[in-house]
Amino acid sequence: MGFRANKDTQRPAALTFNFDGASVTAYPGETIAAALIASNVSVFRRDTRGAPRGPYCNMGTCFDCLVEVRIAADANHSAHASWRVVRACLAAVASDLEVRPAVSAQALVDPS
Amino acid sequence: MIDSDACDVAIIGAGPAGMAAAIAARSFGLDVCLVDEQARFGGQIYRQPPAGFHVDSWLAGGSYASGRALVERAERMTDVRHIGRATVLGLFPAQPQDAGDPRHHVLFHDNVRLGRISARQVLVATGAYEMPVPFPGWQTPGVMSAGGIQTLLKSQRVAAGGNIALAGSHPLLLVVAEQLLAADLKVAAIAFAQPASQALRLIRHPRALLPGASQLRRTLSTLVRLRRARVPILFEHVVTEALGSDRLEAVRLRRSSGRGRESIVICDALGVCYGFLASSELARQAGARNSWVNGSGWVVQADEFMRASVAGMYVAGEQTGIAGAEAAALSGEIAAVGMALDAGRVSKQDADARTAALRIRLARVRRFAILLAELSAPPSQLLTDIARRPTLLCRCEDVSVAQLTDALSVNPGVMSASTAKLLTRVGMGFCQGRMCEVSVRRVIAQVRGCPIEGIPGFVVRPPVKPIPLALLAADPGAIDIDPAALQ
Repeated sequence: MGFRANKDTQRPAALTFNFDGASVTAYPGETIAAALIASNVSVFRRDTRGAPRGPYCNMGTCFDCLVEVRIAADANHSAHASWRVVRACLAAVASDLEVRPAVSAQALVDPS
Repeated sequence: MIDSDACDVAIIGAGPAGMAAAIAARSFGLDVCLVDEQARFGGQIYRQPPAGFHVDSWLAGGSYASGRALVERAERMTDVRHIGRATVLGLFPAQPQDAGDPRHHVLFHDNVRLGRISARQVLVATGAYEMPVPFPGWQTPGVMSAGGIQTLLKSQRVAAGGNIALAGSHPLLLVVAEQLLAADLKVAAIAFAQPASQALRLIRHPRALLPGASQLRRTLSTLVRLRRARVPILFEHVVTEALGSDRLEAVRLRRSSGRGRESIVICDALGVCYGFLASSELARQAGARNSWVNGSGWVVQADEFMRASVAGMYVAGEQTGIAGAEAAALSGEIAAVGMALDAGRVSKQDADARTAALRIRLARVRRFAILLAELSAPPSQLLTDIARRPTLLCRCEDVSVAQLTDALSVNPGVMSASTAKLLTRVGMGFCQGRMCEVSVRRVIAQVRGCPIEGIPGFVVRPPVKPIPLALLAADPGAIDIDPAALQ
C-alpha cells in the first residue's frame, strides 16, 4: 500500500482531482502516478486480457501507467472536449483534473 | 503552425550529460536549446522534487555532492532555452545536399502541441533505463523497476509500498534500500542472484582499488548499515514469481541454482534491477552507427570528441556504454568542446587542452564501470530460466513467451526481433519494444542456439514514442519532413 513519505518534506497546499469518479487528494507538482499510488490506487488500467496494470518504470519508458485525462475544448483548439492518453508518471496533477483508466485498444475493437 | 526554435545546439536529455554539455556549450558562446521529458533539470539520477516542495534530505550523502552542484549550476543558467515535459519523437539529421546552413530537426510534443527545434548541431544525451526482465507475474501492480521505486521516493516523496522487497543483480538495490530506510520505510528483503563471492572477487581486484575505492567503501558501509537494520540480504537467490491480483501480495524466492526449497516473502512492492540498457533509440533512429554490448545495450559509436557517425550529431553519457553519472558529466563536457571545435569557436589546440584532464578521469571511471558490470552480471541462463512459457514477454501487446517460441518453431527462418514482431506483434505497442526487445532477442538466441549479439533488434523509426493523433490532426504540416531524412 503506497503512501506519502513525510520525513524532511514540506509540500504546498493540497488540491483534489478525480480518478474514475473518486476524489483524490494531491499536491501541486506531483505526478498523477505518485498521487494515485499515495492514495492507495494500484490499478491504473486493464490490459487486453482484463488484467490490472500500474506503473513499472516511473520515467516514461514502459507506458504501463497509461491513463486518460480530459482536455477542455479551449485547450484542445477545438469545439469539443476530449480524452487524451498520457503517461501518469509524467503528467502533473491539477485542481479538478478529470482522469480515468486508459482503455485498451482491444476494448475499442471488441467492446463487451 | 508548429512552433519552431532555431539554435546552434539542441541537447536532448537534461541529466548529468546534458546539463554539463549545456553549461560548457554556453561558455563557448553557443546558443543552446535543451529538451527533456521531466519538468526540471537532473535526469533520473538527480531527479528533483517539484518546484513547490521543500525536501531537506534531497540527494543527501557525500556521493551526491557533485551532482547537487551540477544541478545548481544548470538551474542558474539564464540564457538556455529549457523545454521541459516534452517527449522527442524523432531526430532528422541535416542532409548532405542541404546547401548553406544545414539544420538538424528535433520534433517533440508535450501532449498539448507539437514543437520543432532546428539546430546546427545536436547532442543526444538520453541516458538509460533498467533492463526489463520477464518472470511470472511481473506485470502485477506493485512490481516496479528499482529505479522507479527510487525516483518515486526521491523526487515525489511517495513510498511505493509499506514493505518493499528488492531483487536482481545490480548494486543499485543497496542504494535504493538505504534511501528507503533513511525515509523511515521498511525493506522486506534484498535478493541478489549472484554469489557474494562475485562481489568479493571484485573487491580483491587490483584494478578496482584505485579508481573505485571510494565507491567500494561506500557499498561496504551500506551493507553494514542494512545488516544493522536487520534487513535480510540474500545472495544466490532469485524472485521467480510475483503473487497477487490487483496488487502485489508476496514474491516467490528460490536459490539461483534451482536447488533447495522455495520460500515466500510477504511484500506490497518489489523493485527489480538486473542492470541497464542505453536509451539510444533516437541516435539509432537518426542513423548513428552502433553495436550491441552485453551489460550496456545498443551502444552508439563515438570518436574522441563524442561525435557520432552522423555529421553534426554528438552523443554523451550512457549512449556510449553504461558508466554512470560521473562519466556522463565528463563526456557531456567533452561533447560540448567538440561541438565548439567543429563550430569554429575554439582551436584544436585549445580543445585538446580543455579536454585532456577530462579524458583521464573519464578513462578511469570507465575502467571501474567495466568491473562494476562484471560484479552486476546475473548468472548466465538465469534470465532465460525464470521466464516461463505463460510469462508475459511483450507487456504492451500481451504476448507470452510461449506465443513467441511457438511462432519460432513454426517459422525456422526467423532470426531477428523485427521478423518476430511481424509474426506475433511483440514490440508493436506503446513502448515501441523498449520493454521486450532484449527478452525477445534472448528467446530467439536460446531457441536458435546462437549468441544474443548475433540477433538483430527492432528497427527504430520515428516516432520513437507514440504521439496523440489529435496533435497531428491539428497541425498536419508538422511532419512535413523530407522523406529522404527518414531513410
